[in-house]
Amino acid sequence: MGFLCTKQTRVLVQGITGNFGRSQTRLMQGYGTRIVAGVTPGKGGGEAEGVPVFDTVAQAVEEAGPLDASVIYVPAPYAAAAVEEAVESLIPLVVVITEGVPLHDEMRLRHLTRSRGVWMIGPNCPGILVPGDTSLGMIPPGSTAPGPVAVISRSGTLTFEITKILTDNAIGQSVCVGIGGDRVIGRDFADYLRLAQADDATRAIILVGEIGGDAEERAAAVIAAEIEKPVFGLLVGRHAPRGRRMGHAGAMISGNTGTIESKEVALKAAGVTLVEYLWELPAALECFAD
Amino acid sequence: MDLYEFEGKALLARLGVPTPPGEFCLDLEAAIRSGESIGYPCVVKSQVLTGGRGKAGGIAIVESAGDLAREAARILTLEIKGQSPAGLLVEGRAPAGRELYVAVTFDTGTAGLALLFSLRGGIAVEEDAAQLVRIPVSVEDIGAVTPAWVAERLRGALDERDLDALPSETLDTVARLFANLLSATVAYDLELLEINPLIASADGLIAADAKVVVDDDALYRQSDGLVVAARPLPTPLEQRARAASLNFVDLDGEICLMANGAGLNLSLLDAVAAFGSTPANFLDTGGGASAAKAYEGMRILQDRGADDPGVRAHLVMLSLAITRAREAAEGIARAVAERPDDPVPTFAVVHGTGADEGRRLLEEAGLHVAPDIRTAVEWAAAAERRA
Repeated sequence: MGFLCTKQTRVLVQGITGNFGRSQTRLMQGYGTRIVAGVTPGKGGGEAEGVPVFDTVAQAVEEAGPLDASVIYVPAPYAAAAVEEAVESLIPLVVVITEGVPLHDEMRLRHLTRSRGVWMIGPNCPGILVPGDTSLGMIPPGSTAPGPVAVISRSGTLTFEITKILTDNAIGQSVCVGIGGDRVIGRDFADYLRLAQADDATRAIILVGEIGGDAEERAAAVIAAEIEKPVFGLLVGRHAPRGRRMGHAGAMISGNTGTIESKEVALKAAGVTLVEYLWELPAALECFAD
Repeated sequence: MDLYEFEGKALLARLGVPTPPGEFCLDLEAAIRSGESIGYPCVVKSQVLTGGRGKAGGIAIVESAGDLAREAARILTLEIKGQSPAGLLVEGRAPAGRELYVAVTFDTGTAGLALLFSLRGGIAVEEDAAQLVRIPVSVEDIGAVTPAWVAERLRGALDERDLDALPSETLDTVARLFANLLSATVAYDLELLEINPLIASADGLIAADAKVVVDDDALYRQSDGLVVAARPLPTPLEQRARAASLNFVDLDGEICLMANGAGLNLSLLDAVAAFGSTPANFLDTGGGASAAKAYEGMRILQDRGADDPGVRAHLVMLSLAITRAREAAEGIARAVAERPDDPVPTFAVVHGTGADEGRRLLEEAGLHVAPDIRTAVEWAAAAERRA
């Protein structure tokens, strides 16, 4: 049991010819990710970063062979169509980096991917990186190192900081994944927690949550019922003002839902060890250091 | 984005949902004309994007033109929870009847929608949200929802006392309304479509108020006619941030913050509190901070701190995935170099690809570069404005 992707995973990049798509493709190739095709409508027949570019996902599958995953960098208005194309072509893992995808599109995509057995990471996520193996997305490999701790986070760049502080303290990671910062995402904490529980390389889990929504509360229910490995939690946004959208569409306290207090109570009751600040993580996870 | 009541009612009218006759008025003259055409008594309602208008004196029933002129003039200048009204809605009085509550809302828990209903609408709902009937609608079901489907679920969810109080015919009309509102929620990219109160009168259902929230991320495909009135002008700093695609929230503390990423910003807010200080703002450049964004963000911090003697430090956190540390650092260094007299010292943390070069650039520009967030916040919290 691994974490969704390995060195062998054959990867498609949708939106490969944009500036962002190109630089991200280079970054992933540098880590050894096996990128075998790219798609940008209207740019078919060309090449980007040494990768053949096709107009449609169907053509990419036909010419480049079966694809195991797609990383999507297309602009928000076209993201839904891009995911639908990937699903139609039976790609089992889609990583949607795109920020600002409309809520109703996200609801539709969540339902579509889950009902077809497709694993959608994001939208609005930094992707997934399995240290020493492969990277789908934009997590900087330099801040990661192989090891026993699964980092599962709602945030993007905060995830980079957490992997860095762990790596600097000789605590390696079995996976680093940003599950998405929006209110509706493809897979929840619960789905990743189950993967971590089943993964042989994982001995401990760090869950990084933030204000807004009830994802952490639902995660707590799964932890209490199904997760035997130790779980550590960091929740951010304790000091954010209420009723304001703080960058992430998902990060907003409205009424009494989404508060840190409600999440803390739920996670503590589920046996999660909470730290208040990210710099407390190395001490809390000292026994998992090399 | 929240819609004003009159905009929400215009949407309801498009959907064929009855509302009292009314007109949106920008000034006193227009309000007086509307009063004449609608007739008396009528209602003058402040158009603000906040609840509690009635309690704050933002709604008046007027009996005559003189009455209307006096009340309209008062309400036009009445601030409610810090908001000046965008204008007035002058409308006919809704008929008497039972006040219901109906809403279609996005439901975080199921990542679908939910229908909300109560026989005790009006302000009673806000006081006791627990008594709402909640009917979840999964994404799969949305397209297939019919009035009969809604009616069956309403009948199942209401207790006997409520069913006795609600004539069967009215319940069927409410169910038809729900089916209509549900498809509108999808068609118009809404997060919330709420009618409170919905008045069940002898003449049928009439929407006496409307609260509509449109998904910000879908505004690009939904601007068509939904948004009519100008929104409250953001502060000059907010306007600049918006123009530069930065997410800026003004707060009232001591340390001006900027970071690339929402979670990172949130963790900075918490870190600042850990050292007994308070944030002066939240500024998210987004995941990739270009030189231009970093420059404009730094300028905003400088201007935020310039005239506020309570601000003691700027704190910039960059955690970059691609080779952009140099780029972002250049933007920040340029802004700092342009303001040699800035009384507020700037602290920075730079991580990610190319971080060494970024750090060197910032140090050369005179910034205090810390090895990690904790140290940077500790320094910033202990810093003092230069005289």
